[in-house]
Amino acid sequence: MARFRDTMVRSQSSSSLLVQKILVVFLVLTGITFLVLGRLNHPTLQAARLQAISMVSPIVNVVSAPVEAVSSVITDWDALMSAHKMNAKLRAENDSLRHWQSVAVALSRENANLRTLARYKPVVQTAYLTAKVVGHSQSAFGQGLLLNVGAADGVKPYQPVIDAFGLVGRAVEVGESASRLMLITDPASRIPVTVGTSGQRAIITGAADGLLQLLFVPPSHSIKVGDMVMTTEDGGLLPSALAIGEVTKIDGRHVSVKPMRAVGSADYVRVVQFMAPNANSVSK
Amino acid sequence: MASTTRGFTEQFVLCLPMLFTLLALVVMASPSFAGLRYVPQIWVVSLFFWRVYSPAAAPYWAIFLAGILYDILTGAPLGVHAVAALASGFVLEKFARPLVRLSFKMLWLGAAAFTAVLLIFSLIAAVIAGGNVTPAWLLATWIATTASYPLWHGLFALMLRLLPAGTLRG
Repeated sequence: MARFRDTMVRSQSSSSLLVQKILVVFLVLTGITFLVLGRLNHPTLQAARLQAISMVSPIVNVVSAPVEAVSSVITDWDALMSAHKMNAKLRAENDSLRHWQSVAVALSRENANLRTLARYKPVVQTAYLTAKVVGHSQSAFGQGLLLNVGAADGVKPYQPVIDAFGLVGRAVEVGESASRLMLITDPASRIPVTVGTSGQRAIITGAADGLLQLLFVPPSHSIKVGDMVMTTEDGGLLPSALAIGEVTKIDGRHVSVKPMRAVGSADYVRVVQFMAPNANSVSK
Repeated sequence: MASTTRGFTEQFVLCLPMLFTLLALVVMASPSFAGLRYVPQIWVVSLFFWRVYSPAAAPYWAIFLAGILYDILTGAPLGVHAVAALASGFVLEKFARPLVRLSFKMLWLGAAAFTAVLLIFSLIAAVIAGGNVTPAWLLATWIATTASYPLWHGLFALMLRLLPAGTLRG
C-alpha cells in the first residue's frame, strides 16, 4: 500500500514537472513569436503594443502618484533652502532679460513689417498640445517618455515634442490615449539641425554619455564651441529653430553638443502639431 | 469552508511577491526616477530570490508577464525580456536547490551571475529583434543591480516569512 502511495506521489510530481516544462516551452515560443513579428513590423503586434501602452499609461500614472508626491516634497524643501540664492540669481537674470525683451519686441515688429512689405506667406502652420509625462524609460534599448495623450487627442507618429527649453524628442509610438516619445539623447534618434550663425547642416544623435553628437559634419566646417544647435525644416518633419543644445567640444569632425538642460526631466511637455509645406492635413 | 478561506488566503499571500515585482516595475517607470541614469533592476533581483526560495511564488507565467510589462514600459522589442527572464529562470532551476543551503555571499554571487545571464540573454534576444542596445548601459545596470542585492534580499526575506511553509524550497 505504502509502495503504491509512493509511486502515485512520484508520478504526480513528475507529471507536474512535465506540465511546467511544457508551459515554459509554450511561453518561450510565444515570446519568440512576438520577437519575430516585431522584427517583421507585423501590424497586429504593433496594434497590440499601442493598445498595451494606452492600458499601462493610466496605471503608471496612478501608481507613481505617491512616489511623485514624496519626490515633490523633497524638491520643494531643496528649493526652499536655496530660495535666497536663487532669488538673487533670478533678479540678475531678469534685468538682463528685460533688455533682450525690448530687443525682441523691436525685431518682431520689424520682422512683421518686412513680411508685409514682401507679401510673405508662412509655409508652415503649428499647433501645440500640452501633455503630462506619466512615465520614463532608460534602458539598454533606448531613452523615452510615456505621455498621457495619443491618437484620440490628435498626436501623430514622429511629431516633435518640446519643453520650456527646446526639443525633447519625437513621438514614435502613438496609442489611442497614450504615446511614447524617443528622447533626443537616445542613440537611435536622428534629427536634422543647423549649427550657429554659419547655418552648417548636420544630423544630431544621442551619445552614450548623455550628450549629443553631430553626424555628417564636413571636414572643413566652421562650427565653434558655444554655437547654438537648432532644428531645421529639412525633410519636412520638424519646424525650424527649436533649440536643441550648445556645442561644447570639437575634435575634428567629432562635435559634442550639450542639451539645453537634462532632457526628459520636465513634468509637462508640448506636442508640436506641425504641418510641413505641402502636407495634406494638420490636426487641431 | 474554513479550508477554502485558508486556501484563498494562502493563494493571496503567494501572489504578493509577484505583485510587488510588477508594482516595482511600474514605480521605477515613474518620472521621479527620470534623473537616474542607471537604476537597479529590482524585478530581476526579485525573480532570482523567489525562484530560489519559493518557486511557487514566482511561476513561469508571472515571469513572462513581468518581462512583457518591462518591454512595454521601456520600449524594448516585445518579448525580449520575457524570453530572457524565462530562459534565465529555467537555467537557475538547475542551481536553485544547492543555492538555498549556501552562505549569503555565495547567494549574492549567484544573484550577480543570474543578472549577468539575464542581461546576456536580453542582449541576444535584442540583437535578433533588431533592437538598439547600449552595452555600457547593460554593464552599469549589472553593477547597480548586483550592488543593491543585499538590500532587496533583506526585504524579500521578511516577505518570505509570510509565505506558507509548504511552498518553500529546501
